[in-house]
Amino acid sequence: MLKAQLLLLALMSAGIGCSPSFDPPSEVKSVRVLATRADKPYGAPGDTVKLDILAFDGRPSKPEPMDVFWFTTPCINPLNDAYYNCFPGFAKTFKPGIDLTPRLDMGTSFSFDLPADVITTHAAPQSGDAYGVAVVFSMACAGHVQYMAPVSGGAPDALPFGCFDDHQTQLDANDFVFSYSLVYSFSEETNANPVITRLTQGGAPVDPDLGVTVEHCTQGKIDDCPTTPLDTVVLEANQELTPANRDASGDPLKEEIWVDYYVTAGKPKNETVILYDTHGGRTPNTGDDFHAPQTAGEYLLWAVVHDNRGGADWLEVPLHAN
Amino acid sequence: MFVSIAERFRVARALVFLALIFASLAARAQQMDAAKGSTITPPRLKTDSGAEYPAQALHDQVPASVTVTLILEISTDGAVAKADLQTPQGHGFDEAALAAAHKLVFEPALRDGTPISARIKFQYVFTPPAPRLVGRVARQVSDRPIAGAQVKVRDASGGEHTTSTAPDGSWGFLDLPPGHVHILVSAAGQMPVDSEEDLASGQETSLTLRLSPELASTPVAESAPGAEAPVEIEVRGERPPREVTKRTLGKEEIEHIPGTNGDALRSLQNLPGVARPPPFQGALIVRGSAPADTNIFVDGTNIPLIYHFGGLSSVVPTELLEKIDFYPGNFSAVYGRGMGGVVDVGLRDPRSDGLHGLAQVDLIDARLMLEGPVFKTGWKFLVAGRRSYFDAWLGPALKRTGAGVTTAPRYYDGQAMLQRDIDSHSSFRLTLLGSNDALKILNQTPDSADPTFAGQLGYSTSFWRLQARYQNKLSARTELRVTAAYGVDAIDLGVGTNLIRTTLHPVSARAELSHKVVRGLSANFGVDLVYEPYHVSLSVPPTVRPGQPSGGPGQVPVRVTTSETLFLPAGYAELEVVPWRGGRIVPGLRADYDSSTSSWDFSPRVNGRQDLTTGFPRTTLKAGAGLFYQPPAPIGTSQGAIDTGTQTMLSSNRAIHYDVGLEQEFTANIDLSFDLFYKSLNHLVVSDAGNSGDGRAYGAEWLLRYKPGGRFFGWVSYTLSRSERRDTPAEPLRLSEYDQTHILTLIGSYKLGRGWQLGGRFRLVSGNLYSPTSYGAFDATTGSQLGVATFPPNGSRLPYFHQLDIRADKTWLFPSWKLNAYLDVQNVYYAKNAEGIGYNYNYTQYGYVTGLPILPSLGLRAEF
Repeated sequence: MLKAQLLLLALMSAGIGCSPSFDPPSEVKSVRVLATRADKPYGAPGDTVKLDILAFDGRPSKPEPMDVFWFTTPCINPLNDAYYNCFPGFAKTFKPGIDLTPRLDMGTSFSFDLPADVITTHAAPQSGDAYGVAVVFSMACAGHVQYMAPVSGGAPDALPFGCFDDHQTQLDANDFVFSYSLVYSFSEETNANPVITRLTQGGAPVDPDLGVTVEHCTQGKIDDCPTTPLDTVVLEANQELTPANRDASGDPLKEEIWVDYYVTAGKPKNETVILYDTHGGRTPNTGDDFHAPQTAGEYLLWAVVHDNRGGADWLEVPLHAN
Repeated sequence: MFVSIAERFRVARALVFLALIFASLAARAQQMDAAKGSTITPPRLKTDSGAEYPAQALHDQVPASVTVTLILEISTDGAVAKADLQTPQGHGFDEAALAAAHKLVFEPALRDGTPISARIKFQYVFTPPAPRLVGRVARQVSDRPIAGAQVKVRDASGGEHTTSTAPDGSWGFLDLPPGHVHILVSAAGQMPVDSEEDLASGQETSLTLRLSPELASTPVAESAPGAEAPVEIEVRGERPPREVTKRTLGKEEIEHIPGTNGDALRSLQNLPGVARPPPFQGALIVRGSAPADTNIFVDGTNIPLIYHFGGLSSVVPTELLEKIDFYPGNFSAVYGRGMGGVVDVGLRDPRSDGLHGLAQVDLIDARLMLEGPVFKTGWKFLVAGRRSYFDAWLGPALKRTGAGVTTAPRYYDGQAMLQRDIDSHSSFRLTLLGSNDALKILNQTPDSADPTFAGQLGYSTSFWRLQARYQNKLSARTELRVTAAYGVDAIDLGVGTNLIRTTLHPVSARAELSHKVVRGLSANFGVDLVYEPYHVSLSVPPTVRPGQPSGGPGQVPVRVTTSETLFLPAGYAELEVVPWRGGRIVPGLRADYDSSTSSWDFSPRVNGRQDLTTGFPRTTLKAGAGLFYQPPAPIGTSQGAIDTGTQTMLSSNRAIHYDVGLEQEFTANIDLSFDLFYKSLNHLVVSDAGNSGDGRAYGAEWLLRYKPGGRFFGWVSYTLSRSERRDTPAEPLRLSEYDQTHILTLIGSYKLGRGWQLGGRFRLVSGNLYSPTSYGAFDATTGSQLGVATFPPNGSRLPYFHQLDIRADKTWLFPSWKLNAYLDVQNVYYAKNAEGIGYNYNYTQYGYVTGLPILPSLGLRAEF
């Protein structure tokens, strides 16, 4: 009980103390993975599931190009469903110090088969539907991928792979992203990806080919730059019931759906905006304000929509700063 | 085992290597310079005296090599102008690497032969020093050394190492790997003996093995069990001490301590042994114990909360208090079901000398109180209530940040009392008290690190108790006190799909019979019953233990709904013995039954005091030891983690408290209290690991106090302590999240005259612990970047906290009433104290989250 209180009070106090300021997460200036999308977020046992990845190389200089590598064997039902409990299995498959490119798939999509026994081989949950889970690992890397032997007694979630250049120098966090995707399989529950209907600027629909046009900003601080209103429209029919999640009265809750904005220049006022709340449905204000870039040029803007059960959709549009 | 502290600090194997920083940047710079026809030579290392392996890492038993990466700025003379951490590692590694880096000397970088400043990446690799195993072999009876005995050690990986003892019987291995070893010693004419040991990095284990003469007529197999050689293991280090104490604050002190707004229970945080809670967390952290380990009672009835949310004020107003008894440890057998401390708040009876009232307002809340006799019935009444009104300004402020506010944060509490003296020996009192805190907001713009922890945020916590108390002094030697209560506790917390909802209906009863048997001997017998039906609904992320990483926000939540009933009957007996002049011994025994574990816990305890002097100034020695049990909670653990409450076959958490202390009077106003305590914790309930946890807390407390009575009161309080835990016996002890090494509090308040009073409080406290976090995996399913926290957890500490608070009071006296105005200003000199660590989105940059700026509070109180 006390912990619950502390949790809440920490939340309250988070807005009252003074936090350090960093570059916003929406700013894409390095190798980034923004999302993956499974064509079947909740697959059935035996289904073939296709994953698409949204990755982008935002580095101002690119000594080596970025590629997306997929680890071809999904990890099925790791202990406690924790992705890092798959890591010990890599030690049996890979040796340190070797370029793994020949053993990995490359590209922006990857398909795999959910095992027919994915549910039956999973430990029975404490309550609710029986389920299984597949964890698919990928790596966006501006070099090649090497396995790194785990440090004895080290953190269990320490990254097991590194991104290395041709000189065997390990590249830093600007040059790679190690990511994982979860694909669940429930005996009863189903799930569909949310779908972005359109992006609007100032209330008018944005043509995905023409993109968003703004005047570049001449202010010294990005937060002082003029804003243009953006809104990502997802129709209410996309918010599915989640029978397993119930409120205090026992009534089933709906999905939470939110949008993450990413840009190569400029800054959204909020990187993440809740579009649909689990309790209250569509939120009163789904829009965001976008601060114009400080330099004229051609840029990119992404709206990535997620639901809280692994569904996703995204929209990439050009951003013109005159 | 002789562990040389100096050796622990000896330079570890520090591998140093250079790499060009921002390799691509430098390469690009070179390309650009090459295009201009320039040649760049990177800096070259000239002098490196290495980095010391940190003592903290040795203590924390960090098992593996750790790499600290630094960004160095090399000036044109080759000196290190600046060194920054790229990724902190904690456990003292960062400080050791930075200290060593500033002693490095380079040949500067050159452009066309001209020195230029440069930035490079530099790494220190800290490898734990190997354990040392040394010993001595001697004869069983005479203890004379045996030279030439063969010592064979098989290490954890199966490797065998052999040596012979020197003429003085000594032997040693300096490069064994950490882990379990088997030692076999044999010598001509002696029976061989063996031993098993666990070796830890950087530590020295020392054994003395004594051999018995071989008996030709006695087969080895028969003699072995009885002839097991004694093994002496000596551990060098300070033996943890012990202590016991009880502290009481006077009304004048409570009302005028700066920084507390005159709140009685918040003033407890200024006493020795009580840690400073993080801001806006109304937690009572006593002697390194989790807040849940300390029980709060109102006249013997347990209540679930002590503070309204944010720790802004207590749930029972100061004006109702008769006393606060605070036991940081070694409390008597009267109290049970707790391993930490006890706070027992005594409510006063209503006044009988006419109608009296009070009204108080400050920037946070307002309260009213009315009391007096009920006509001429012999009954007296008291009613009081308080409501916060900061929701009036905080609600609009939250809305301006974009949050949808259904219920702005607010709290209220109320009390009602009816009391009657039945006759000169007995009285009856009925008390109703309750509290309610709530907020409901919609957070539409969550942290991108976990967007599932967003949306509608609702919080409500409430409790009420109806308590009846009957006291009767049956005879000059016998007294009876009976208290019974019924109430409801409710917590309802929801964030997105996360939900914690609990409702409890506790029925409690206490009865104690005190009887003076003979001069110098009294006996107390009591029963303490709790019957508690409860309902719990949970939907929370899977639980993890401290140091164990989360599986990420994409995991399926754990959902639990259960309705059970706890029945916790207990009985106790306690003697108060005065065996001689100035001495007092209180042995006691408490028996607790827990229906959830279907088991009894028996808790013997003893406390004693001995005056060393007769009359003033008094010197008193005090000591105590005892066993304390705490039943597993329906949800939550003593470790502070949320446990889903689905573990079975649990037993109670257990603690053994040891105390020893000294009290010394100097003048009528000044006294000193010094205490040493040691608290051994075991059978601790750990999430998903049963009763596998253990730990300890120990320290020393000083309280130099100038008592109120004249124009001045104040005290200097200092606590030096350490609190450690581990989740399984196989792990090394790590610092508990409730550990604060140094807690210094200085308080003083002076009556200037003409109704003016001015006071100040200064605090200097060790920073809270945290686990440095670095770049981890990206959860592409939810778009969340995860961090990797260093292991073991709590390896780093925030900078010291220091703060000055002042308080000024002015009182106006009128013929039939008085008016008091006060200004309480917290953090007068605006110390930007670090209260946490903030990271950028991918944990490659970090900075301190600082606490509150200057916080003034103005209040008015009228009494008649």
